[in-house]
Amino acid sequence: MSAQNALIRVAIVEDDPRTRDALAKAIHQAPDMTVLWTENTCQAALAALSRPAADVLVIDLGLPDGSGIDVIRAAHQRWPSCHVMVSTIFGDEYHVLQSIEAGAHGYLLKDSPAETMADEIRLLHAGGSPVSPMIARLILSRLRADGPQASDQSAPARVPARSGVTMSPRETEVLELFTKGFTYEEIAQRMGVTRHTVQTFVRRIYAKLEVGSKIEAINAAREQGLLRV
Amino acid sequence: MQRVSRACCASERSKVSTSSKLVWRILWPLVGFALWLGLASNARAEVHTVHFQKAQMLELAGGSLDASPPVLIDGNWQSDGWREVSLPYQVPRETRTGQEQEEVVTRWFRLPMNADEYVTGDFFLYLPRWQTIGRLSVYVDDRLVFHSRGSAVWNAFNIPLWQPVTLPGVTTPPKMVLLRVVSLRSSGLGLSSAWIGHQEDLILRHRLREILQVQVPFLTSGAFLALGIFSLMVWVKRSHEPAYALFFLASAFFFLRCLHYRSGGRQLLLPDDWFGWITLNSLGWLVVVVYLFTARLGIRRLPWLERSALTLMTVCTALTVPGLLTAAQLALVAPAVYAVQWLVNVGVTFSALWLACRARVHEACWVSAWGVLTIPFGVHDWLLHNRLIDAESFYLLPYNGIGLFMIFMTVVFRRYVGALNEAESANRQLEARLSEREAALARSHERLREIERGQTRVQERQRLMQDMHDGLGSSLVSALYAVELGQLKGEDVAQVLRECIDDLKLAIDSLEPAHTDLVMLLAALRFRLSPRLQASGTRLEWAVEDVPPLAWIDPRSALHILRILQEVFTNIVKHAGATHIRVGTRQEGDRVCVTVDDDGIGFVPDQAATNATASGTTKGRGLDNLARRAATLGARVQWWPLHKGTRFELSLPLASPLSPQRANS
Repeated sequence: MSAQNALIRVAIVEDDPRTRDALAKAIHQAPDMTVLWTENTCQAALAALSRPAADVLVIDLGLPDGSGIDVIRAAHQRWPSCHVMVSTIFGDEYHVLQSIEAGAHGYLLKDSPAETMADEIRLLHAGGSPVSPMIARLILSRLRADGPQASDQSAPARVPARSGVTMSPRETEVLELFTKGFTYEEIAQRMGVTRHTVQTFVRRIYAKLEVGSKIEAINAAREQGLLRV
Repeated sequence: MQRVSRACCASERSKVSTSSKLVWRILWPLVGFALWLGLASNARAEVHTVHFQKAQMLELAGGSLDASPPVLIDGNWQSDGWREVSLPYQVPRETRTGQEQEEVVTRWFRLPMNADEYVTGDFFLYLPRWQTIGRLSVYVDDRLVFHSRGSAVWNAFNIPLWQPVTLPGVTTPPKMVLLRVVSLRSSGLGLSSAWIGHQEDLILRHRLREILQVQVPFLTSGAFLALGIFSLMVWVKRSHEPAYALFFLASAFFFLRCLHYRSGGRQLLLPDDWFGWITLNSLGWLVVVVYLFTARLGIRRLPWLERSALTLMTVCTALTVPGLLTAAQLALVAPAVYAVQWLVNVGVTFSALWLACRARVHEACWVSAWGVLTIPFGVHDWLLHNRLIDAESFYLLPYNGIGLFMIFMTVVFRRYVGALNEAESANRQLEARLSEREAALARSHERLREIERGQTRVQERQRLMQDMHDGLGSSLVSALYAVELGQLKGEDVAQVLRECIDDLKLAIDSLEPAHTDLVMLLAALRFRLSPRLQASGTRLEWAVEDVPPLAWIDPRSALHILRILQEVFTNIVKHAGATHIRVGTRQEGDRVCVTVDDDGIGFVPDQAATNATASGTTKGRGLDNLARRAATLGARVQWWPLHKGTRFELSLPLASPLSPQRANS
């Protein structure tokens, strides 16, 4: 790790052997990364967390013995510096948002070409997080401080604005541009900042989502009398 | 004369005795009405009181009903002709046939007292009843102390006389009390026994009789009249229920009837004859009204009986109208009219009882059974009125009336309360029915929604099926054939599969709830297609602007838009050989336009279409689909040649397209 050109160590949790192999192959082909270990169950993955931390953890949610969400949560706690990305076919709300709330930083589309996969991992490791327009819209509806707007009326009713966590105007602007289909570079250009700044905004937003979900969990627990504060 | 008791003179013992009587006075009302018959002959020990059950009577022909009696008389003016009579004393009325001059008779009753035997004090004469057509005067030791005023006919026949008999300035007891009665000989005379004694000894006796005899009938008849007026008001609002009106009529007649029990001592407001007319007829009408009431309680109606009762009563009433007969004649006719009325009474009462028992209507049974009691009571009163029985008796019909009204009232108010309850339960039923209806409505609504949901699901499924069939399915099948025929290489297979996955992703994106946002839809498209554009080395310029939301876009139309643009992109990537694509949006009047510019080889749609039909390539089929989808949306698709390359424009209406349902066909 001390060396600048140290390899990105990737851990993989995936139960489908072909997907696992394809992913491992893509990483192997990349000169700057290596597969630390691969596991195919929740149990094994949780056990593997006691080993030295990986730089990136790629994880599938639908594991044979449970949900990858638990592993994401544990990994976020045990390996604070590790970038977690959820591996999904569609990059849909169900998979991505709940992973972000559990502490994930991004997602990896399973049908991406090998080079794209490596790029995504690299990007994540460098501090960037992919944001699809749909995900951006959902996050907006959850974290928007000034209440729902006209475009959010059609948003699912089960995602009310989270209490305790609000976004800054700049963060909101970033997300709104994502919903319109702009890329990191285009957003950075439009806002007159560097791509890195936009990445920072997104990471912050993701962190707020996670905090928001934790606050919600605490509130829920307090309401149910499970927790006394 | 009988001296009831003689107490000792010691005032202490008298007081003791008086206080023991106080207990009696309290007990008296409790013993009450049941003991009323025994009142006159009560042999209770009393002090300083004489109960005269005998008197000396002198009867003289002549006298005047109108002239004032002498103020003083000579005590020894007449010593002969006195004879002893027992009290109560009655001379029956005579039924007169002719119209000869009325003969007047004066009767004197002497009540001697041995003054030496009594302690001094205020002495009172208590006379429970005197009844005749005439006047009564009272003399104490030859001096006039009372003279009855008002009408000679409607004198105070039912009001007990309560007269002080101690002369002013005299402390000794009176020696002699004289009663002078001047009356029509034909009217007979009824005189009760008399009491003379200290006020405290007699007051209870007097008050009790007064209350029972005068005040109870008067007060109850007033109370019934008040209820009757309430009943009348009910009837005004519910005129289809005559029972309420009949109750009012009965209460009014009863009230009129009871007036004469309280008359006397004062000038009447009405002439004697009119008062008599009212008194006489109100009873008969009361009986008839009671029958009419009973007949409406659910028993068999006898119209002929009702008619004859009404006719007979009308005749009686008309016959006795004042002016037809003189007051004296009226008084004499009264027994006959009473007789006719009782005939009617007996007729209707027994018919009512018989019909009620047959119909087993309890209320009617009660009313008519009580009505039957009227007959013996009426007979009693008739005898009393005609001085045929003891004048100390009470007139019983008022009490009978009270009982009757209690039943009457129960019936009427049971109806009233029953009607209220009925209304309430009707309300409750209405509410129950209403909520039942509401529930049924909710159920059918729920069913409708269920059906609607089912239809939506079916439509959604059809939409996806259609899409899968045209896109994903056909791509996979053709890829399968190609693989089986060995025409496809590994890389081509991967390409086909990628396209299939893209198709799938767009289908999923079309389900996004934010599809009214066209820019958002384009963003989703870019997100899905950019990897392939990147892979093909095409640069994408994203120049979208905010446009108004298109409220009409639903998942189906959203997918159409995505597929149209997907087709356009695919064509550009596959056939145009473009290096740069620019996507833009703008609003143009009532339409929103999406433009896709490329810098590839020129593309003329007509030519392409011709080529497509000629060669039957997938490109041609894609354009067909594109046109079909655009038509479904009410959208326009156009291609223009640019200086270098082609511009594609998809123009969507802002408002709802004319026939969005065409997608179903």
